[in-house]
Amino acid sequence: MSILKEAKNYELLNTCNKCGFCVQSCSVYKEHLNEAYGTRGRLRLIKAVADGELERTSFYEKIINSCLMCEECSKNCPSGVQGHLLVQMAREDLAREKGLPFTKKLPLEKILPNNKLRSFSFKSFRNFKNIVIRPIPSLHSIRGININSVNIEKEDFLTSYKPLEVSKNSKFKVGFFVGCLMNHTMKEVAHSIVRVLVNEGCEVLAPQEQRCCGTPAHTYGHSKITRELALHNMRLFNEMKVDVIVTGCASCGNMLKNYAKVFKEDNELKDLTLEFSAKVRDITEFLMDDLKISVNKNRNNLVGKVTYHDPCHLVRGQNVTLQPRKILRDIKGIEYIEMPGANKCCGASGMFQYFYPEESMAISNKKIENIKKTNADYVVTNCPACYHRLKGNIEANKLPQKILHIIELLDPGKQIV
Amino acid sequence: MVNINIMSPVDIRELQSTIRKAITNKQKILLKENLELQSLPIDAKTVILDLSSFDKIIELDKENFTVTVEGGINFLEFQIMLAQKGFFFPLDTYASAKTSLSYNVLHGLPSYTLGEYGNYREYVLGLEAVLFNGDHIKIGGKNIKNVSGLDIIGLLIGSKETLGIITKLTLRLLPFPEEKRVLLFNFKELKTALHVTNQLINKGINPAKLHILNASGNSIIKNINLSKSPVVIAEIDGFKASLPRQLDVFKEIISGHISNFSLEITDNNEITNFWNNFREAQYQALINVQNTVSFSCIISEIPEMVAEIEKELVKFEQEFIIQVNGIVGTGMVIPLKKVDNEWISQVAKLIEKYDGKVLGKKSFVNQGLNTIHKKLIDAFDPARISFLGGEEF
Amino acid sequence: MKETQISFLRNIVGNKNICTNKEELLVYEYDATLLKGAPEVIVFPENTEQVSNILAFAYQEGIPVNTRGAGTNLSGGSIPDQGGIALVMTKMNKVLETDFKNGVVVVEPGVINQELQDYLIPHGYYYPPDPASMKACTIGGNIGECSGGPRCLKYGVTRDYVLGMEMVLGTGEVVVIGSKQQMNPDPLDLVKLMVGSEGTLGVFTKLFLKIKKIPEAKKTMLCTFNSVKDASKTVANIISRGIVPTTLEMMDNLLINCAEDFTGLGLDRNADALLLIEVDGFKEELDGQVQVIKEVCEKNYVKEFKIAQSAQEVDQLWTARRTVIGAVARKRPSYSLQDVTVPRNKLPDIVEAIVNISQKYNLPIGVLAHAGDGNLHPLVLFDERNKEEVKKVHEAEFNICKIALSLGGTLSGEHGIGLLKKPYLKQEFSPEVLKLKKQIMLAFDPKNILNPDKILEVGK
Repeated sequence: MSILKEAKNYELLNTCNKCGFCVQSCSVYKEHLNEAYGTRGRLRLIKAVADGELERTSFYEKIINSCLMCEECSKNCPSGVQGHLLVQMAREDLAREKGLPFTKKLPLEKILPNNKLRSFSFKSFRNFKNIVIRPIPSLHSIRGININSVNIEKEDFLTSYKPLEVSKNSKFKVGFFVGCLMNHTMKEVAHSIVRVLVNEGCEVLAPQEQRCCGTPAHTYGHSKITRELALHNMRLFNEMKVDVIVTGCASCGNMLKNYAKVFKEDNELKDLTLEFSAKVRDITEFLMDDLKISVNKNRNNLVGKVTYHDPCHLVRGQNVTLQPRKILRDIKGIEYIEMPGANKCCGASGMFQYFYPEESMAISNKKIENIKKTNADYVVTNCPACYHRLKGNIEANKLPQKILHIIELLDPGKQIV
Repeated sequence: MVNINIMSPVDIRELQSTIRKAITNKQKILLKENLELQSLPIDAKTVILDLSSFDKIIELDKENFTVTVEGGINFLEFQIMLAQKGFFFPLDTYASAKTSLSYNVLHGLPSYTLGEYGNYREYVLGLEAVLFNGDHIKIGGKNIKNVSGLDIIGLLIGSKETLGIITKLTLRLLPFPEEKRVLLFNFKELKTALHVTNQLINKGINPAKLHILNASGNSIIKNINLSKSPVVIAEIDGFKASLPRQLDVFKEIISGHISNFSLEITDNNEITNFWNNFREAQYQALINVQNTVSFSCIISEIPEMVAEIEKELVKFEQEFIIQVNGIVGTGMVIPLKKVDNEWISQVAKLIEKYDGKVLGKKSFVNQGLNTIHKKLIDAFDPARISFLGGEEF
Repeated sequence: MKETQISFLRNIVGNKNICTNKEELLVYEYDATLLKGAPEVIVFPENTEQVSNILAFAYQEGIPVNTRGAGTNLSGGSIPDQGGIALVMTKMNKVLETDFKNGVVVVEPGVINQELQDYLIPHGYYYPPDPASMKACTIGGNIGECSGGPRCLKYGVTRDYVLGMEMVLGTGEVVVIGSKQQMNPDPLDLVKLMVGSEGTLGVFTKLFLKIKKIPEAKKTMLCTFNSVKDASKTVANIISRGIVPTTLEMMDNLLINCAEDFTGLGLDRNADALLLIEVDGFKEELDGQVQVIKEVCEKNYVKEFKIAQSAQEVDQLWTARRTVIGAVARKRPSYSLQDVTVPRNKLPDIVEAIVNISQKYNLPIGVLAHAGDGNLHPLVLFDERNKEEVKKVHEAEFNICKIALSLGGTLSGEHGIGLLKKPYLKQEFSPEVLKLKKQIMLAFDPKNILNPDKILEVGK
């Protein structure tokens, strides 16, 4: 039996009363202006499949996979229908009933979960990029993704990480969940996170064995891989007896916090997940809410205007909006400008940008227009995926803005200007 | 003058039978008020309808702020009666002292207060009418919102007696504004006056009434000593607490442009008297010639349009009044003596040059709309007994 | 429809603007009601010419055309229950012209109400009609239904803000009625007739709307009561004290709790009724009005009287109000919504009647009201899969309509008749009026193809 027909799932499909409030909040709908691409339409189709009214057609698959998982619809639904979770469920149903296509299966099942294979892939890609792509401008952008702008580290952060010295009576024992993208492409930012935490008197542990958080597998309905990864990561950090688990990636943070929800009926994981997820913090959340640090000193003599882009998985996934803004408002010497539509998706959404290049491009272009309106010198965000998407688009559009991860503004060891 | 055939039905049944007879006898029918205001080719067969028996106030509902009233009541008397009971019906026209409520509604006569208080459709909550097909219909009630089916109320308002006669109305009332003032200013030039008053809305000032008159227009302002130059009359109303600032802003906009005379009327009785005189004088000017041009225009086009009318009409050596409601874009050109068709068509041409519309002129240019219009008339007036309507529209 | 007909339409709008996929037909079979009916083809015109060509063809072939915006309709008016074409106007979504000098904005019908507001607000203007679904619904749909909204107590309904339009007649002919002028001197005011015509008379392609300056100040008050009766009395008393608030909204206990579930604002879950009152205007005049309102509330045993202290608080209160209809789905999976309207002083009577009906049929009914203008939204909660219950819902609603009419009310204040209230129409109007309405519809649409048989049965 399809999971869509399982009583609890099926009941969820029936909670939508079709008021239509979700439709306009969907960035993908706004590109198509066709009901099928809005959440209300997607739910209608999922229900049709559940009821046997509709086959799992390739068009159905296209509609289901066209969701950004940005959670806007869920936040805008008065009835509390969690549109993104129902789409996730439909994807899981698709993965089970039809199987994943090779283009998704390979990265989701083989590469991302396997630390060695992943490292190898990133390194090979680095070489390929440096030798083949860089000299040929026409290859810089593939399906609207500015791959030339993506930095790939020669040696990833975790391999090179050596714990810094800490004072004996550290305030917190922090487990640092780096995340694949930060690990392989933003090593310096990861170092900044460590430096800032250590400066604030924390002991930072970043176990090399940590694996992918599971977001990509979960997003495309691959529950088996998600569960494997979750189990591994939870055991790893729980055994280390850390006080908190901090990440600088919105998507990782969202997934780690959600282990408890995703596996709430998994008896084997139940206690483990509750304990684990309660410890997870976004870096800004940890700094502002737990450590309550003072940020009014400008730590790296930055001047000019800054604006902030809310990653979907932070603003809606974790309700973190005030902490980063407080940091940016408090730092002396810079001026914070709120961007119109700051909390709208940047268009990246993991593999979405590859499979739906036109929609992704259009959504990114709106973000770029909003960035222009701020006249800011710096665009700050808090998620490696958004960081790369924004950087790629800012560079492709030859805008003057520089993109920063928020931690860079707090790290005196970081030379920005 | 031909013998005129006046019918004064006393109730709906008599009105219905008058209309049915007109259908059978192929007679044309129109309201009595028209005789004074327009020169019309009526004959002895034409049924002149006098609604003066329909003059009762059926119910003043103080809780709901509505009044149900018969359509034949004199518009001004009706307003005075309401005012005595503490209620305010804000619409007011040049003909309100002389004509029935139904006449004003059926002809959609532009209210002096259109800018702040809007038009009839916003106040007519329900009505009864006898259509020219003989049917007596009731629509709406005391409900402020009503979208049950198609808006027949909206269709009847301003239908110029082409569909039927409204016999009873339920109207929405308002509380009286706490205070009001009438201000008069002389301007050197009409165009400046129009430009200046155009800025009012953008500064958040929305006068209840706003007339801009050319120098000849002075003649309809009685008992006030004005110099013979263009004049602006504004009534501003509102809450006691905020009126002084509204007046200040208003005066600030005006100052620097006014030439020599300004007057502020603060006493409510004096204000009432002022408007009674103004209304009377305008009405007299209108019936004196019976051929005036009423127009509606885009607000921003008005200064240029009026300036050109003023300039171009000089060649006729004929004195005329231009009266414009500057925040709504309605107005009139009233010759002081009878004029010929050339004069009228010249004015109309100038108005149309600025995309303005001449009231009462056929304006459906599309074939499709004409067909629809004909079919609508078929439904309401199949025998074509409406004097003002029929095929010639 | 025949394959040749569909390919003719395809030639008009191009491949990307036409769908016949089963999947897409499925998502255009509904609106915000429980009714259903799938179109045979979905067409997304991009300009007036395409609309004109589509209608000319539909006229020639006698194909039903169901015009639709965002599909948030609450009366089943946008459901293609007779098949044919779903004419979806969402791609005609541009603001064409803003003319602040004349206080006019020209828009295409697919513009979202909220997006128009967002566009105007930085210039100091707004468009007063504010249906609760304003974040989702299109201006074209608002005009088709003559939408109201909380603000229309003071500022009037959609009809009062439509100055003119470009529209396509049932034959495909493009016409302009009204204009950017504040007054429409046409021999018959067809503009007014088009507003609220529910897609049965023509298809709007361009709309001339009146806009207003944003008042310089406003005050928002939240008052709770121990009984709905006290709250309704308060409403009538405020108006008779000579105050016309911008809004006077009421929610009963059931809805207060639903709203609180969604927003978590700390609304009083034990209150029997809540009034959300707003006054606006010049800043000097508001304190006096607030004082009077407070006195009236106190006289009617207000439980708590609170003035919102910040713009953020005001926004949150309004979010709670605007989303509460959807939020009821937290209680039961389905709801059905009426929009009967009664004279303001009959509010306590109809509320009492609704409570009795709720008990009689054993159905939870929440009451939400634009109390200031007597417009009620009784929300009947049920489960659409339970056929027995659905039958009871229909009976209960029929009773609510009957009682509203007997109190001098009307079937619809702002949602339109559509399919949902069609069966009740002859309770409100005499045969003469119904005949007239039918004649009007046939005058515009002789073949009865424009949203056929909505509002009333026209037949072939």
